[in-house]
Amino acid sequence: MKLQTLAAACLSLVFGTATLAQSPVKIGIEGAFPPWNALDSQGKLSGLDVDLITDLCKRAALECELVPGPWSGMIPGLNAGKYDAVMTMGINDERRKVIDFTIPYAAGNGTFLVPAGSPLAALPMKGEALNLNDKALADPVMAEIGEKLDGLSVGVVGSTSQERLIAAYFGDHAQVRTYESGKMRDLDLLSGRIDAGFDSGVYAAATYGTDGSGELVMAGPYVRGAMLATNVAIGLRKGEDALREKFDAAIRQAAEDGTIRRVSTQWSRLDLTPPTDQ
Amino acid sequence: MDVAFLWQALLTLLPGVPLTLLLASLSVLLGFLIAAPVAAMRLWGPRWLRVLGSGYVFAFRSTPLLVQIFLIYYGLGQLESVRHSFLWPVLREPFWCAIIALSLNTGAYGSEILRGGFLSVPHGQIEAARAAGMAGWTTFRRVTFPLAIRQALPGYGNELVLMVKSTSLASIITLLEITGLAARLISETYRVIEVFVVAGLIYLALNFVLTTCVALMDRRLTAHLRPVNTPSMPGDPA
Amino acid sequence: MQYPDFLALFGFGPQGWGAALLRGAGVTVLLALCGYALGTMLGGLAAWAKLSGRPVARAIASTYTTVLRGIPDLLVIYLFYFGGSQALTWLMGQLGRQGFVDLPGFVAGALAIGIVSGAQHTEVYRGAFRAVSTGEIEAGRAVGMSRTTLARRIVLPLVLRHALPGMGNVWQLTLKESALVSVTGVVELLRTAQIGSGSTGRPFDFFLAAALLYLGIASVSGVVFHRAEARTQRGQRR
Repeated sequence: MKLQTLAAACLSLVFGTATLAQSPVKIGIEGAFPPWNALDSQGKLSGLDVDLITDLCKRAALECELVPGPWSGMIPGLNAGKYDAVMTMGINDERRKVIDFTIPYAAGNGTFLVPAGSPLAALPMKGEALNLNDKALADPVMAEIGEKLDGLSVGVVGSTSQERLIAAYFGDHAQVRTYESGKMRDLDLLSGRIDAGFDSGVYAAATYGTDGSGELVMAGPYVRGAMLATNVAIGLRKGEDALREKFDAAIRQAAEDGTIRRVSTQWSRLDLTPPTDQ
Repeated sequence: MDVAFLWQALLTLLPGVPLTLLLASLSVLLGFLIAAPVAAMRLWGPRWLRVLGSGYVFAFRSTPLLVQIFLIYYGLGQLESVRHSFLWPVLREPFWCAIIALSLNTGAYGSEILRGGFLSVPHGQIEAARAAGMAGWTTFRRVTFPLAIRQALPGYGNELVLMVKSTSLASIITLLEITGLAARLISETYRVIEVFVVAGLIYLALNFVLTTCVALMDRRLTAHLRPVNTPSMPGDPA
Repeated sequence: MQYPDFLALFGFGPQGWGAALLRGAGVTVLLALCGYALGTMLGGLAAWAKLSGRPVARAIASTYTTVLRGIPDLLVIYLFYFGGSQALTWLMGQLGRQGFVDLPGFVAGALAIGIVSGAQHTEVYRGAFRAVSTGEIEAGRAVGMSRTTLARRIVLPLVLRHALPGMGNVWQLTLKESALVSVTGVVELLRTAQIGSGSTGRPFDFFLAAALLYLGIASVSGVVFHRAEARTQRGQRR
């Protein structure tokens, strides 16, 4: 008897939740990528993304529901209807083939992360901006970095443009190790299993500080361009133009009245307002 | 049905098969080397060894393999004492952490299978060996052990299939076996269902081959249990 | 760096993860229960199909058990998580409902676990049914019981007695499979431990705590099944 009631309850859970799917806009957020987003011990989401999307949804007069999930499932989930929009989605050409983007709501960069005291802390162009599309300047620097990484291992998060970059530029020299999230990669970096990590500069700055006094320090240049998806926007399914325009308008307003500057400075100590030439 | 993509996916995932098979077979082998003494400990050892053996089996059969993998890989990596020890060069590599976790896991299950095998040896055989004058160790080596192994074979064959399936968890600690390669392919192409279906088919094929081999071996070793085909005369009952 | 001491880390205060871990354990048990319930139903259906002798039903049931015992559980969970929504959307589309229908992670996980445990249950029920001695069924018929009465008062209770140990085993397996659902983001026990270890940088503490909680749940389940087995074995000579 008890088994039957339990089974009935489970089946109604399936169809109940299925039919509920109508009204709110489901926003996919990873929950493991500070300062953009994080999950605390109470299971609550917090971070730059959370504050910003709450503000944007209010501006766009949309009812939004935040749904945490694994990063590797964001784009597949978007296309399958699990999410109607996903946060922290960097813009690049590869992704443009499968999804649409709003205008960027933040501008970031990529950087290497190494244990304090590692010889790799002396990678060239420390702390300087490097645009990979400027091939004359960038190619020799990347070649030099490639030599320094020869035979070593670099940890990246799966399904990210950082993963694609390291594989493309250094896949022949270094061993690329793919992790589920930045935190798990950092655990291995701290224990010495891998020699370096490559991730968002915003993540690195917020988690380990910019003065080089943390357990992990940033090394090498702040990289942008090529396939790196450093302009961060909201990802949407292809063809969702109405939703995109609502979000675009909201983002423009938030950039103009300084909301993005306020929220990003509060969470990452950096002003991440995107360039307004979109 | 994008056959071209499915074919491409197959070619991308097949290189993961050697690592999958290596992880599975090495773990089963090491697991057997753990299981045999543990089974013996639990059957014939002094009390403290029996408790130790039972505790090990209970711990590894009652916790998920993924938790064991995380504990050995990330957990041990946190401890300073481990990082500075002579074990670190081994524990540093995800391959060995996976082998250790898988071996300890299959060792626990294997010891149960072997225990059943040892217990199933007919007492008459052991008495006969003693009557023939064999000492304890010789009896074990020539009578108990071979009979137990033959009894345990179907169970162990099943264990090997389960191990092949369990190796897919190694992808979560960055190893590029079949599932790891599948995850990487998906992150490049975003085509989840097709890639995982191809991966599933590869595992099915592997397990089919394994099950067939185990069944063949079982047939050869239990030939004496099957009825002998004698030609029958007309009028004989069927 | 100042590490918070053990009590603060796992206690129930604002910084403590004790409540979160227990909540995760609750989700784990609920997930396993839903999957197990589905599994008993699917297993019963498939066992009936296999035992019925009808070739088509047998073939379908055999394919089901073979496929699910040959692919890694991780892949089944991934396929349900990503494919479930697509399948449901298509299904609803056929029934006239437009737009996307989502299958939440918990439901997808429970379904996946249910389908896998269903295959395991099939074998348990099949073996249990075979173990019921034909003498009992003949006696029931001789007394004049109808088919339904026979099933209700003789066959089912006897099948249950023989199946219970196997069902207990499948429950333990289901409990461990629930840990794999963590890859879809459902915040059960293992995921909570992962979040905690990422947040505090102390994977050993968290994964050990998770392992101990799994051990606890497994022990309690073991006792429950033991009691149930003892009840069904009343009057049996052991």
